[in-house]
Amino acid sequence: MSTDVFPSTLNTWIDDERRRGLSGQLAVNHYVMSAYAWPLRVYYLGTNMRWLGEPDEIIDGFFASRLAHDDFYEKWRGSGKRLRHWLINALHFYLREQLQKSRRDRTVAAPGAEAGDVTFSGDPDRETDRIAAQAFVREAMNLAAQTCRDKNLGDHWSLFLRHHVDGRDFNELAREFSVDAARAAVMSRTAQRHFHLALREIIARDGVPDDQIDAEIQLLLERIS
Amino acid sequence: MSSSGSTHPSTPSSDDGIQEGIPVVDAGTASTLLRLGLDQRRPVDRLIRRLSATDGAAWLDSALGWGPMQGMASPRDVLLGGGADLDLLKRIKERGKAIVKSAVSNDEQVAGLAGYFFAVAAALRWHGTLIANRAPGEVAEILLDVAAVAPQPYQDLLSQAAMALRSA
Repeated sequence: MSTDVFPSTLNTWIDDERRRGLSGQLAVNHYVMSAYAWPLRVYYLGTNMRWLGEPDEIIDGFFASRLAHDDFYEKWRGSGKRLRHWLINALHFYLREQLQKSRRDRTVAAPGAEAGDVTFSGDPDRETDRIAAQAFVREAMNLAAQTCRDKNLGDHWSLFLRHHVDGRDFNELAREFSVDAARAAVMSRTAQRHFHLALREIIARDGVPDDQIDAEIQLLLERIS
Repeated sequence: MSSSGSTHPSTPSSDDGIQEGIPVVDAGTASTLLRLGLDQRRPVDRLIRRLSATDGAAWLDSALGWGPMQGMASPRDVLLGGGADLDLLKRIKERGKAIVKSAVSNDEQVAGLAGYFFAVAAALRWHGTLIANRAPGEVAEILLDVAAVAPQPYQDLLSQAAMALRSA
């Protein structure tokens, strides 16, 4: 399917990287594995197929099987789905393939998977969103931390974490970082701005158009509460 | 479906560079941080975007001069020197507000916003008085957001003003 039907604001990072050729493709694959391996592992452990193998082995095998296909990302774009949902869908197919392989290799029946259907204990979409919310925040933290390191704002990033994650107030942080409270506040706010942009970038990479990012964040907040 | 061995992936390990130092975040932390991703869509965000541009510092010096502080010898001295009385700062704030309302270009409107919020900051910093008709908490948040992208010495002015409000 042509990618022209999608808004130009959609997934620009993934598209731009892939246009760079092999190194860009590798960067995209690296990012997808980094961002989505943990959600996929957690999801896998909630399925009736979790006996198929160790989570790390299964997810590594899944990525190796799917991401090497040249048309993997085109098919995702054609689906109109969020990448997290597309990957879970693809994981279902992969687990079925693994079940068939297991049946060929072994003679024993698979526990709880006689029909070969992958089932999940709970609402799969809600659970996917909930886990993805945590994963997106973590990836945004990685991206923002890297940006801050690149801009020599390491202390700004540390202050941001101490304030927003550890709950320390600026007077306390001023003493810890040997600055006055006003400076501590603005340093944290500078890093916060980088985090804000990073989080919106990570959510855009999941296939969310720019004008829907706030609504997507609201959805993720609802799922995680 | 074709495949390419050259892009065969391997999952990054937990100590891979990009994941350095960031553990899995719990749901509570994720919820707190997710909220920071929301766009607030306030008028002042236009000023924040303008100041974030590579020429933001030069633009500010020029915009204060032709905008809300037109005719004043040195906008820097007025805002940063501490010698401007409260009436003058209120006039600058009101001029900024009027420019925002009557502006015909984005640059003009953003210059008006700069005059408004920088005058509010100077009044807080030098006179300890909030001259804006807004909640103190809201003003403190705005001033900190602007401070994060403002050049020095304006950054200190804005952050000190914000902290004066927070500790009041």
